[in-house]
Amino acid sequence: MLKVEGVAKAYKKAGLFSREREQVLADIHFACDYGECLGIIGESGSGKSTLGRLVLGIEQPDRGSILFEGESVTKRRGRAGKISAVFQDYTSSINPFYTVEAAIMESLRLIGMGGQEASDKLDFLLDQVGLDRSYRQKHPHELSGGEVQRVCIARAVATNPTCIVLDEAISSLDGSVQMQVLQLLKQLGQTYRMSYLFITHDLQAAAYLCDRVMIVHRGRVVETVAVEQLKDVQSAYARKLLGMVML
Amino acid sequence: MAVLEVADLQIWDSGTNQCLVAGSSFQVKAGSCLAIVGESGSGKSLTCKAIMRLNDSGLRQSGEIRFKGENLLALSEKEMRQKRGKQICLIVQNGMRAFDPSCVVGVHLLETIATHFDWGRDEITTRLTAAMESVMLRNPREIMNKYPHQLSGGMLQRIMIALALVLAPDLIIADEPTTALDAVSAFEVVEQLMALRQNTGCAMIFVSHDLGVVKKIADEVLVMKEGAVVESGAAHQIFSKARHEYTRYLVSSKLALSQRFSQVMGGVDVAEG
Amino acid sequence: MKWLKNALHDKVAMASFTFLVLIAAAGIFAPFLAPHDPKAVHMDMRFAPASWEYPLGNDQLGRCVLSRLIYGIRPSLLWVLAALVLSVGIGGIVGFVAGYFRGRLDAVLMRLCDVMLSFPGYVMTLAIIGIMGVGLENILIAFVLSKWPWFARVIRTSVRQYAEADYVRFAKAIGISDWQIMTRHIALVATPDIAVIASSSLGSMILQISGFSFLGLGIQAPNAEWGMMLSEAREVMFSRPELMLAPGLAIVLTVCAVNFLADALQTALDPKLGRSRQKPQALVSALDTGISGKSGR
Repeated sequence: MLKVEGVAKAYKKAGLFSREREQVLADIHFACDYGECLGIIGESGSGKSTLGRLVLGIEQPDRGSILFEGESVTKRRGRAGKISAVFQDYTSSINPFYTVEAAIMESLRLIGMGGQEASDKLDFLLDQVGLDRSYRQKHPHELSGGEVQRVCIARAVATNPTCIVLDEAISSLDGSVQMQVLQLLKQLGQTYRMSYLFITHDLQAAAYLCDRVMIVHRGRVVETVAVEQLKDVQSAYARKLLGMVML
Repeated sequence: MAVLEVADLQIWDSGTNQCLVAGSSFQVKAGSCLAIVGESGSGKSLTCKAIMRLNDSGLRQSGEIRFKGENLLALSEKEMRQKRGKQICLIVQNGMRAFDPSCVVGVHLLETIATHFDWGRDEITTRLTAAMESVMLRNPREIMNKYPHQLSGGMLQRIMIALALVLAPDLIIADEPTTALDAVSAFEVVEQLMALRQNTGCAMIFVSHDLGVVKKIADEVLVMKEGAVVESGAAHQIFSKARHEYTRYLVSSKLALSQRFSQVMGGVDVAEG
Repeated sequence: MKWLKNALHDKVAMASFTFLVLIAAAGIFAPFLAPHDPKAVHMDMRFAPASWEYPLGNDQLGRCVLSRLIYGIRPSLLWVLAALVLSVGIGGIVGFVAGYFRGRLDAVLMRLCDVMLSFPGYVMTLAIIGIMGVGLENILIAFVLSKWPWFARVIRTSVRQYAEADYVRFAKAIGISDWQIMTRHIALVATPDIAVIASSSLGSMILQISGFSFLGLGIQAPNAEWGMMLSEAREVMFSRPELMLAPGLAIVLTVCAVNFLADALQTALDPKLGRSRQKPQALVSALDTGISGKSGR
């Protein structure tokens, strides 16, 4: 479903005439299948968020190709929401002037829904993410972090996507709320048979949600391993990461 | 002997008369680490700032805060300032906001140390360099000449710990130091904090919502919810035999997450609490 | 327009807003409100003091001061407002395009703005008047030409910030077109910023127009305009100082009202300045996160 080959990305270092470039990603290859949950694990600065943006087609790689169902991801218009996203910063994930209803309607309008049909689907989505119908008229600043992320998940699921990119979606949340959102994601993934690209630094969360895990360090793929075989990782960096998990 | 005794601390907003922290009481014994656990809105950060008397002027507090026998709320601002840094040190969550963005880190550090001790500039630099090397910061001189935005979150946290090492306070308040860090940096910072306690024998208040970190570092735990203390006790007690429903809920949430990981790792040794 | 309502909670702002609305209405309906023809000359009534027929007296040509004041609202306030809207409009479009699309387009547009901004404002205005001749329209054209680059730069900075927000990223990711993103999201969030800078500039623009008319470069006699009335009163400043009062006060009060309103708007829109209006529950979590910083990176 998603094929990434030979992707590299560098950013220009600060300065108008500086020729120096910082290599953020180099030689990334991986593939993600329908219904599969792939975790991308890395420290901050490892390039995983950049990879997320490249997969969504928001930025262009310097080299290599990213194909989603055979088409390049940069062709965003025709996709009509087949790839969706949930981001980390819940304070800027929803337009502060929009209500919850307006935010989710944006997705529904894209797939051509309107009027009563859209309103019913909205109620259904809110129900699925565990929010009451009274949330429809609320603004994002009136909601807690966990509630905003739930609305973002509802908004992402609204377009019936094949794949959702979760860019550190739970990292900003409190402990018990993280667990609730993870459980919700797992359940939705099974119900809709969606695949996830779960970008995180938290190995435990990835082990809970994902089938396979890809470890990234300094812009390169260090190792890819199925979650069941996590204890048999080969590379030194992966072993170091495993040793640093605080249970 | 208790280094810090807080009795019936109440914090309220003078503008709206909303009670933010309702009568909390706790103790921190010398050389031990008290963890304050709670989610957003529980008032744990407000409590820390109240101890340091650094809350907004719109927030009022009452109660008794006894630090080594002295009531902190009765001190004048000048006396309080002498205590801050030298005897009670605060390590904040967001390293980027802890340092002045317009000058290099070294200037801020030198200024702070020079306020409390009258060592010469060379001696301060030597001590700082030694402290930074002990928290695993390579090239301390180079780091001291960098601006905060050029350093990562983990490095900034370690610089704050190095500063605490030099100041050698009796009490360190660490307000969510690992929340903004990734797993690797968080692990290193926690290791450094534990080494800091070992080396200086100071007491510590560690605020967090992450029970995994708390399990690793804390001796005693205080659980807060919506401004009130819900439960307190020894760490192993809280994690295995919690009495209050909210504590049990927090512990079981954490357990559910780590269960899968433990299952996957089978019987292989991992960094346990 | 919740923020407008918030701004009007302040009594001074409410008073200023009402004052400006009344003045603008008076200007629009001047033919019905003014007691006399502003251009009618009555040489036998020169410098007459206030009377029932002429509430503010007569000027050096016997014309009714009050009528001239009312008719003067049009060029002094209403036309300036139009010029402001035009320059904010042009600057806004350029700023949006530059801030949203970035890259080479941004660089080209900003260099163009730099070129326009490197000309001193007054010099450019004088040059344009020199080429096109005196008159209100030419002054306003000169204004628009010299102000739009400034608005473009400021709006571009604003738009750049907003275009990096996660909700814009989401909209891009699911395939919403750039035009829709700009109109549905960025225009909405940038409007408060634009309103603040526009209202802040209005005061100085009114003063500048009056200044140019004072110098004789703007509107021409016998049309009424506050700056020109001041200029005419200057000649009899020591013998009849009261003639300066009416137009002078009018300018001062209007500009003050505009500035108060702009201030109130800014306070209403900046969340850090208006915290006391938040609900208590939100305040606790705002304080907690505010004090300990945002959770997460």
